[in-house]
Amino acid sequence: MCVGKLHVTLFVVAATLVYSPAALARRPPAPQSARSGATTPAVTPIDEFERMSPDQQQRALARLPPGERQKLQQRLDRFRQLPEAQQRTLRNLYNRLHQLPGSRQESVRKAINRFSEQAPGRQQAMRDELRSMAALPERDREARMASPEFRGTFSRREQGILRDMLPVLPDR
Amino acid sequence: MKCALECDVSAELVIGYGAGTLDPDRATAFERHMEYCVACCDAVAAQKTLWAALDAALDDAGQSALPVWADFDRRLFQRIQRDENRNWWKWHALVPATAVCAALAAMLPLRTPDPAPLPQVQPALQIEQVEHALDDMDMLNQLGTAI
Repeated sequence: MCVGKLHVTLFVVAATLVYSPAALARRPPAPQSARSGATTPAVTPIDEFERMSPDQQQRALARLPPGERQKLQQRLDRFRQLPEAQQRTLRNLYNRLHQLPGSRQESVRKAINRFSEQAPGRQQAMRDELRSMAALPERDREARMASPEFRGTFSRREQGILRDMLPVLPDR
Repeated sequence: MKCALECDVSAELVIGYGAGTLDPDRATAFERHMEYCVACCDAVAAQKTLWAALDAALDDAGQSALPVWADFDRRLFQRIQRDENRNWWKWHALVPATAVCAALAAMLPLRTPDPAPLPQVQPALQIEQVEHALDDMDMLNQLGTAI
């Protein structure tokens, strides 16, 4: 090897070491917001299951009794058949729910149970209200709930349900 | 005459006398000096011994009478050249080697030692987790696509 090539090789090695992205990028990944928006890739246990090989899936399912196994497979099929947008919404709601502290998760679950006990018309009115509030910044949501219009539209029970559901709404 | 050795005039005088290359006047003067200078006498004696040894090593034609490799000179010059090249490489490799060391030193603050890898226990997905996720999805699905 001629000396010129040796010099070039050694300088290239040095430059590579100094400027390599691996050397410069040894910084911890940016912390993910606890309540990220709808664009956050949502990975749920369902997604993890879907990523497993067929053999792994069968081994996981084999832990269940045959009846439960079939039931679970039917539920998975139903989820797969949901429109893509709805699946995405559910994944984001699921992730936001699971990013909450346990006590607040429990409040949300209870609120949704109370919600399901309401008459269909009232459920629809609350869905519409949630859709409106989801589009508002957080401070405006509080103002909306304090408004006479809101208080006049929803009963105290319904107001409580909506308030307890607020944590799963996406940030704006 | 001052002593060539003690007065540090020139060892050339002693060597020239031993080799017989001094002009007659200087040689005569040097011989008179040696009558009372032991140091110069010893030096000349040593010179004569050396010249005698050299004369013995050369034959009448002035060629070496000692067994010397025929290609002694060529080997000698090759070795000298090789040593020079080796030193030359050392010096020329020093520059990029220094650059590499400097680069590594500059990286030290960047490459902080990674924390000792913790044994990552990646729990296998439990099928119960999938069931619970589906329960949550069903619950959240009651809200429809409102959100």
